[in-house]
Amino acid sequence: MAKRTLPGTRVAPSLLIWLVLVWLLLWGTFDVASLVYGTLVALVVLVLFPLPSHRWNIFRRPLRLVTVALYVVVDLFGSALRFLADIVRNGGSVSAAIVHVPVLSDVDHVIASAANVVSLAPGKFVLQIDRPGGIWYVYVTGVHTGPDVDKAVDDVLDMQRAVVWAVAGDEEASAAAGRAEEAKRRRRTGADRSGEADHGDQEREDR
Amino acid sequence: MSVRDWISAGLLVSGALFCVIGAWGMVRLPDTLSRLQAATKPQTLGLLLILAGTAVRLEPHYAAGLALAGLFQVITAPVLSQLMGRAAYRTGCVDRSTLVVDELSQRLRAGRQ
Repeated sequence: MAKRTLPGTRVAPSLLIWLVLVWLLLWGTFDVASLVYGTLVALVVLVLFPLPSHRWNIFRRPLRLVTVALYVVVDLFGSALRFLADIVRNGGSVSAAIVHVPVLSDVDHVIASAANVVSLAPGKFVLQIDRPGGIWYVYVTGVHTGPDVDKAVDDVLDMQRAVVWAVAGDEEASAAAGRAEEAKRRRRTGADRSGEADHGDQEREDR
Repeated sequence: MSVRDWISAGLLVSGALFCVIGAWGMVRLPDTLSRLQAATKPQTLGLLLILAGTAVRLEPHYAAGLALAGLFQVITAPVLSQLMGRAAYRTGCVDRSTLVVDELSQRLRAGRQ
């Protein structure tokens, strides 16, 4: 534990390089002076605002990352148009739902990235994360009937699965796929709708 | 006009259109949660398109700065909307008549009993 507070462990090379790169891009000049000042600023930032010692490399699978990025971009356009079509059809009003969706991963980074990706598209966002219960509460627009609700939950699960597939290990990805199928089935059969009061004492605020 | 100009023009105009959609939704929609959707999301897409449209016309090393702007927009916008959304939900700024199902309130009620 004591090791974590040593300056040497705070200044991870990858983070340092990333911060210097951001600095260079901000200034748009790639010369020695920017490099020196960038390194200084990066060091100050890393020493003053240490990150948790546990880190994880999202670039482990660049190809999968690009695939998911493309999937997200396509989904972004699709959702934007669907959102627009829905408001126009409803004459400027909206029909929405707040649904609970099981979280497929148990790793903080993965959950946070997946929540971000889901929240990026118009018409959907993660309103509340119940971390210990492993549940997201997602606000979805364009929902009118029961089947629409199920469809929305499926969409969120699929998106989550894609993110887990891109950034987590293989075992975790297949476990997530299994959990997604299980969750969809339970949703269809209605088993999940009454069973959620079991851990009803948690009203956590993790984000 | 060269091909590059056309691509740039197409991207800029479609980006602006998405921003207009966002503004229109912001005015028309009934409550905070749905307005958040209109205010944050189409605008993100609009900004990305406008940045792409601008990048097409710039020299690569200026375009890199635009990529950074796009990246930070994508990372921060969802976090912001999530925090605002939760605050709105907690303070009751939600038009319940727009909600078909609200599984969070069911859950919170179950928690209180």
